[in-house]
Amino acid sequence: MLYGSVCLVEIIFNFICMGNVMAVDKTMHILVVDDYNTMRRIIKNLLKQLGFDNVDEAADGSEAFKKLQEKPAGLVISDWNMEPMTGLELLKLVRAHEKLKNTPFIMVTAESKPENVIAAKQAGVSNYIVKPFNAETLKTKMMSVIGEF
Amino acid sequence: MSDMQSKLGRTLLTSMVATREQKGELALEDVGAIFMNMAASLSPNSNDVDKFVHYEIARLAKYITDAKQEIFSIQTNDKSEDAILDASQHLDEVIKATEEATNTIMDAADAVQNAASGVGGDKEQQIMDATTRIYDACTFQDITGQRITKVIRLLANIEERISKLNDLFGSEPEMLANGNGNDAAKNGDIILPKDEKDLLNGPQLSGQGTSQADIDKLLSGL
Repeated sequence: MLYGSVCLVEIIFNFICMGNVMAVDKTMHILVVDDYNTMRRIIKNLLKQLGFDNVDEAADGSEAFKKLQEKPAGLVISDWNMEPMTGLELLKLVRAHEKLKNTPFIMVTAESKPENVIAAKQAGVSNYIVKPFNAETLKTKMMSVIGEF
Repeated sequence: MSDMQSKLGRTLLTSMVATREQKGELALEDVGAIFMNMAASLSPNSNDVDKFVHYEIARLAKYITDAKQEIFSIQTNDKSEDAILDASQHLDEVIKATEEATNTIMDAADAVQNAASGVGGDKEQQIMDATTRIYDACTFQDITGQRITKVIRLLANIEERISKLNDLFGSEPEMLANGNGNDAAKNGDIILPKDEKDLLNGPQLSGQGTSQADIDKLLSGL
């Protein structure tokens, strides 16, 4: 009976481990927000390499917020410096919205001063990537926010 | 030449010499002030020629004052010399960054070509054609670099002109001060600006930004 219990524990343990690795649904909807078409393309490409194909784009904060209200995302990856609405303003709107407030939100930006990081954190950012960045950094920060994959 | 004109000329010369002796130099604004004083002191009950001289002196004085105001407004709005230097440095960074990126792209294209050689047939040819298009596209870096260098030279020219105008008019430190005193919440030693627009600084110059590792440390401490 003890042996059976150990086997059962092992099975449950393995199931939990597998569950953690498989916890992230790669069909999740991701919204990439940046006013530069090239950057949106690069991020989309990187996400595809990581296995995420369900990716939508927006060219600024206001377009992104409209899209999120129509179709919530499992993750938002946003630039900061955009017009007419910045990434920080978008973040604040998302965090203030009843249905969207828990959306994981990663800021990917050239704004690298400590004041920017603090302001973003105070606004509720999930993680912060400074440009230029590489595929490994994007993956690491995504995993810290949505789980291992 | 009328007596009035001779008198005006002597007064002007005397005033300019006196100012230079007093201050050690004669700036254009000093000349403007002398003209203003002369215009104010002239009697309107003069003949047509003297009235014309009076009018021209007043115009000159106003012209100098207006020009001085315009130069100072450039300084107070933009801290123009610093802004131009900053812009030139950013453009230099653009050239360096595009050069590095272009080399990286071409190295990757080389690797693809090497890997493709020996594949044979249409596939190899397709890959070779595609990598050739990559090399062709990378020539953009040379053209953009040349255009940007032209702009940098133009900025240097403008900076030199503004610097000369500064010397001509002299500086007014109280007008050059540029603190906005709008600091709001503090976080340790870091002061957050009240206006979010002051957070929009764009990329920092090499060596001046915060690294990803330092940002991660900062985030984990908040």
